[in-house]
Amino acid sequence: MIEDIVDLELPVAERLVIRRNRLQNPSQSSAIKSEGIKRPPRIAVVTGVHGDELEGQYVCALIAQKIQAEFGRLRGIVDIYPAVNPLGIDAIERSIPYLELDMNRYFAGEQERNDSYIAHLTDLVTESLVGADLVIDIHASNIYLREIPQIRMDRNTAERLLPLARMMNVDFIWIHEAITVLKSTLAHTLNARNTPTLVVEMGVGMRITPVFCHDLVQGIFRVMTHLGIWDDPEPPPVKTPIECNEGEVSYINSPAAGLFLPDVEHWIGVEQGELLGRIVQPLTGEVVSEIRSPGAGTVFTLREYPVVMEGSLLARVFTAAPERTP
Amino acid sequence: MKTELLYRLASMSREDYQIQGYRFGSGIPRVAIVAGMRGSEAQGLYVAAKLVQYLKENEQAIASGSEILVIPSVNPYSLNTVRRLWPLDHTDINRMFPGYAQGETTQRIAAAVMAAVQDYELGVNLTSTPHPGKHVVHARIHRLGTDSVQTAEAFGLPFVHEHEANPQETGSLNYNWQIWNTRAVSLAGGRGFEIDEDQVLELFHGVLRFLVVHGVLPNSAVPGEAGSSQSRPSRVVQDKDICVVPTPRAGIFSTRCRPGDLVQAGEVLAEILDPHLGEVRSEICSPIAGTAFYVYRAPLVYEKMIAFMIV
Ligand SMILES: [Zn+2]
Repeated sequence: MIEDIVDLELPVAERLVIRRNRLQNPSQSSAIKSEGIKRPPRIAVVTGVHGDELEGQYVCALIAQKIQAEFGRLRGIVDIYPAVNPLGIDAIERSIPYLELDMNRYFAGEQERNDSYIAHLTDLVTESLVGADLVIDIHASNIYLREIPQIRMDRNTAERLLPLARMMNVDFIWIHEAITVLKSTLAHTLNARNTPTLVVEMGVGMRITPVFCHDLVQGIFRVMTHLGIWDDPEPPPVKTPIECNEGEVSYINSPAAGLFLPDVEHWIGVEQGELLGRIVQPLTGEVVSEIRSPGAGTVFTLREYPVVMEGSLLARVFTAAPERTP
Repeated sequence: MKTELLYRLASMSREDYQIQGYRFGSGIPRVAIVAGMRGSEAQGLYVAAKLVQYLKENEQAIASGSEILVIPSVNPYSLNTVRRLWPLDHTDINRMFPGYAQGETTQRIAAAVMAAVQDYELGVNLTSTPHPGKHVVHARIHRLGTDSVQTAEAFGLPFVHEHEANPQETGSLNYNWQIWNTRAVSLAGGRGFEIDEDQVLELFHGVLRFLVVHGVLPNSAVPGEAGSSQSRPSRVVQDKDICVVPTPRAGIFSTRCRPGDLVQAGEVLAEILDPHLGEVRSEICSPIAGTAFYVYRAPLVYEKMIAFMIV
């Protein structure tokens, strides 16, 4: 059932509509009711808060296809929200077009927000999600950086979220310290309202990486089985993710301006001092800098957009190697 | 006047990014004035340029042992491409404070600005809001210190807006200045990407008055009314005092109301027109009597945008 969560008037012959597709098997739901259970379990897959991120679009399509193909296995409710920022997706803009504001900084209800219509959108989306057994907010990095499939969480939420995150078939879980500016994200707002919400980051902006999407969908069905939403007596195994804490990440920022040409593949192990890439000046061809890994580890973030300035992030390396031979 | 290059960054294709500072007087760092942090903030750039011109001509009048630093444009890259945010990655320098010298580009810029201005007793940031409309000229503060209101009143502007910082604003220069014990005030007004000559003069005179009140310039150094030692009362408003009037419908936004106008309760302030049929979809009335603090200013408006703020 397609439902309009937000329906707002635009100036000229159009409306701004945020839709969700609620997938629910009526026969199963009535069976649950007759057994006296209060409500069916519910999962929500949310994406497109940032209009330049498309990996989640494909994930939504894959989930909808699989559920429709095997409808008899659906026990609870699956809500799919592919486009929380529909105008941004259409305009290929990360932020909300016109106001140029990052929607994922306007979710918390307690603060002054810049424009009341954004508050209206974020409040309605939030209210429609509160109470779900799990919300998965899928992001696709940005156009600058490629990310391996990972779940990020605030240390304060780790106790509750880690067991669910481990089922999601991602490669990496990054547990970071609480960050003030993230208080107004969708995930923080929902977690604060007792609705467990996982943030997935994977791939790169404006592109689809099919293998990442298929892996994540497998994880989402695994967690749906765990929550009693999907009937699968023998769920396929999921990857055991690397769990990473804040001090175990090395950030490599560019020391120079130019074109960044990587010399390594994404998501590989590197040695200390290994050449990760070079910065080249196109006017002269000069290699202005060679970028080397500060330690042994695994490159989980790698620069995708070639133009860099001093400070541009080139890579993140998970450096807590389990054992290092001297 | 001493001209200083405060920061420089190379770009692959453009000329180097540079932050220039202009220093006047010598001695204790008394006042730092920062403008042009976003590409939309040309009005603040203009005010800062007038201040540089004034201080250059009147440098001998600066109280002995006092030093003033003016940075008219933190962000020439965005000003020159008429973009609000940093061109390469669309980040906002004024959300990157206190900055990080080893971090991302705009964190490095913020760190360089912070290093240049953090020891000053008084800090002024000529800034803007991201609203697509026009504000009256006002001094904006976050109440962290006890004497912030008094500092802001020294400009003699009609309003002081005492604003509770939201999570994003903890990354602003103003907020971080106060953490480092600078008494900091943001001056805002007008609309992004536009210049209002009357507001430019109001802000320019406001800053001169501020310098006089704080003993950095003598009364005699400032022309006319701005130099008057008589304090002009500002009305202090808090977030809760601002009556936000949203648009009930979308369409063509038609108004003759200007920021600063006095309005009556129930007065029709704007009409929203059907963009095809020309019919009035909605009339927007002021819920209270007061002053128009902000007026939406763009041809088309969405439903539930802020049409007016009345105080
Ligand atoms: Zn995102």
